[in-house]
Amino acid sequence: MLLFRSEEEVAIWVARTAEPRGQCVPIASVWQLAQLWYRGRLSAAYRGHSAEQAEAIFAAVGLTGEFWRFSSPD
Amino acid sequence: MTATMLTERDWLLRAEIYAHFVALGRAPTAGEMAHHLGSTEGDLQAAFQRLHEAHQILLDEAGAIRMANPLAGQPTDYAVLSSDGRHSGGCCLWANCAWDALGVSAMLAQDARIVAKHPNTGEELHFAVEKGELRAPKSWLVHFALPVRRWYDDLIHT
Repeated sequence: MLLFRSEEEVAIWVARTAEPRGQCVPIASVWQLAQLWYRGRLSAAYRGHSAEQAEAIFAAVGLTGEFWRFSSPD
Repeated sequence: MTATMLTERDWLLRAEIYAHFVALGRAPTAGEMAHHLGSTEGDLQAAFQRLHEAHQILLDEAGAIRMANPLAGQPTDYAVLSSDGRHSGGCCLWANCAWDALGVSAMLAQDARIVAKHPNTGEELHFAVEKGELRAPKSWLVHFALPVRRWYDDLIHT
């Protein structure tokens, strides 16, 4: 997950590296995501995120759709 | 192996790895964790492998910790400095990616200054968390190259 200053910079990177074009998320949303995802990670009580929990965290910051699902719908 | 197959001792070790990682400013070795926990290096290496298979840490080919998300076991393009510019173990902690750089601040519940290397130009990009608030240009964004179902295909590349 790389940091860019604009979508145009992402396009240059994709063209230069032939890496796949995925999804761009505003850095403010990524800060929200980081807090939900990593808060409590140092705790001995941490037991990981299930796929359902992870998808709920994505949805809480507006990241929905097939790209943000751990399994494809059958 | 899934996370639900880990033992309570494995989860305790996970927490100890993270605590040592933050305190040292680098990934602890199996030998260091064995000394700390009064166990053998072989037992710890086997536990490292179980945590790796459950996606709680990522080991390199030599069995050393390469990632304990959001922390990186080696220098990366994302350096995270505590708000006073230093961490107890040295200059900074390294994060695996842009999301993880912010994740270090979130995990530690500490403000941070982040210095990233631009993927195209190599320029330094500076942003921060101050008093719990993100300080970065609103136009900046993070590119997620792969859909989440493919994240564990290749964590280093992801």
